Amino acid sequence: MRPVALLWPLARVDTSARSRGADDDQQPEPMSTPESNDAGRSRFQQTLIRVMTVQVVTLLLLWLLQVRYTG
Amino acid sequence: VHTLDWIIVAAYLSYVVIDGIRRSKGTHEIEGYFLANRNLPWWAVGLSVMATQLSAVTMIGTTGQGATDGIRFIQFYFGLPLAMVILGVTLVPFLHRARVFTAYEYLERRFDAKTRSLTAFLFLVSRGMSCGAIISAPAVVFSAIFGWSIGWSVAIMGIPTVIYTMIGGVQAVTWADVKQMVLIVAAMVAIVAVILFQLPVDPDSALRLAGATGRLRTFDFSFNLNETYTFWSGLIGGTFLMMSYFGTDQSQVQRFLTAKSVDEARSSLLMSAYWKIPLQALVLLIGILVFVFYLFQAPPLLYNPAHEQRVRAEAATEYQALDARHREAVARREAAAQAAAASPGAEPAFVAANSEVQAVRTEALALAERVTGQSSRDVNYIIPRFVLTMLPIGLVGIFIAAVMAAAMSSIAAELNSLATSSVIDFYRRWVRPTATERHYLTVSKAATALWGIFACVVATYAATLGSLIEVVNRFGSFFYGSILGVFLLAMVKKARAAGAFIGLIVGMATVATVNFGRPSVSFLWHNVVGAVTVVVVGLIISSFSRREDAR
Repeated sequence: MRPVALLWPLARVDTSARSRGADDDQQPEPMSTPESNDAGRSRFQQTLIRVMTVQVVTLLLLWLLQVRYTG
Repeated sequence: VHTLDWIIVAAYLSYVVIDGIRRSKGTHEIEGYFLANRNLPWWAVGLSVMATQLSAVTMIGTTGQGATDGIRFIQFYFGLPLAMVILGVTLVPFLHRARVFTAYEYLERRFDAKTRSLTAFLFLVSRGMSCGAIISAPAVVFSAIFGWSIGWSVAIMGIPTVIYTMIGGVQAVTWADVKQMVLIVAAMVAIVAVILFQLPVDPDSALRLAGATGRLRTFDFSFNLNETYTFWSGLIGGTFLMMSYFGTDQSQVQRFLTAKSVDEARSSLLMSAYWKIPLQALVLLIGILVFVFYLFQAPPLLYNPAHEQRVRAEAATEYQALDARHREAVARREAAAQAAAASPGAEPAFVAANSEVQAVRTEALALAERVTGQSSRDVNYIIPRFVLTMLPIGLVGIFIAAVMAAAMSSIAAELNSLATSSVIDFYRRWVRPTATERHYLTVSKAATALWGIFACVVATYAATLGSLIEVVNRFGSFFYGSILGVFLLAMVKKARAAGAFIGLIVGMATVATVNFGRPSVSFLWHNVVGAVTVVVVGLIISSFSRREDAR
């Protein structure tokens, strides 16, 4: 069972074509957007929503703790 | 401390070393030694990331902070989940696919060698010193509580860590981290359970008493740039800090570079995104419950036993007078707490009685500072003192082992990453670009041992090096956000090497300026200032650089 992976919808990207040895390419490679296509953006948005939902629930619980017990 | 507790500690230390040596089998090249052949499962990497970040200071200092200051420190982590998601789609895939050993190695491919060397050098200086500070903090506490010398306290944690890190490499570090993380969480849950069992009031009343003193006030929505812990500094400054730490600090980057794939590397970071805030809440809750526990059980006037002994001996009359006042104030507070637990209407009287106890404590701390000539801040001693005097046999040993585990997991990751950067970014890059794997492996092990010795020496003399370590830590905060700025710049196609290097220098200078108060901002904002300055300056310089290229 992989609970975290299930919450992480970014699909596996085929890295083999882009993978290279440490010394076999000295050309500058900007960190341009590997996830910039629509599918990648959508997956990122879903992940962001899930992580943020968990955090909002956590913050809500802390807020309730504060409101309930702090005068 | 009972013999059984020491047996538990000895068994833990032996097991970690033996298991670390066992993990060294099959490590015959530096890819295996530093990156476990990029073949570790996401959950092991995720636990290793969390264990590296959870140091002994968290176990003894943050829990103590919960007892004195409450839960508001948790705001520091509000930016972490967002930072992890951003890293998951930006730096993680690029660094993992680039098949680099260090984050700084990538900067040479993208920009130039001097940017790589400068960032790697800054990492080595700051992490080398902070590694000593990580061992020093628990060593000082062990020394005061058990009466050991600082050197012995450092050795008992430092030597086993150096042995298994040097012999086993990242495999040993990661799998030790997994076990250490389990031990740490188990110890914390057990302590919470024992405190709840021993409290004379129900959990609801306990939380009400803690809440009456403001210890459950999590949120501060004020937008004050000079206030360290606010909702906004945690969310905005914290996001930049966590992105800097998890995305550009080799001690963290190396964890996710060992994952089997980009997807597994992302998943390992997301483990922190989901669990860091609840885990930190648990850490602070321990401190809050210990505060409530001491409402019904007489607490020591001074938690640092070494200071207590000296003050008793050298200022006996003053100490006895303060002690008598403290006992009376504590008795009045206990009665007020009982009344407040029974009736919420009695809370104001309890708060007043608590302030009275705090006032006597403040006087005692001032006396301790005058007598010893040292800082009398004893937050780090609250939880160890509670554990040693109040917890049952067996659990004391588990707690001591857990504090050692927390220290060792952080030290091991840092030694491993310091050795990696030393060998990959300097030795292999500038000294011996071509050599056999066997040679690099030998050098890597020697580098790990040397950094271990350096960290232990710094830790042993931390008391005398105190101001130097503070300077280095402050210097470290100058470039943390700035290095993040360089990596952010690397994502922009138009950015050039000159822009990155000059931007880095200007970014650090700007952070140094705001650090010294022109204008004054609290440290969580330094990373925002540094990163934004580097990106803006870097892009401006790059535009000039491109025009030169065009000509």
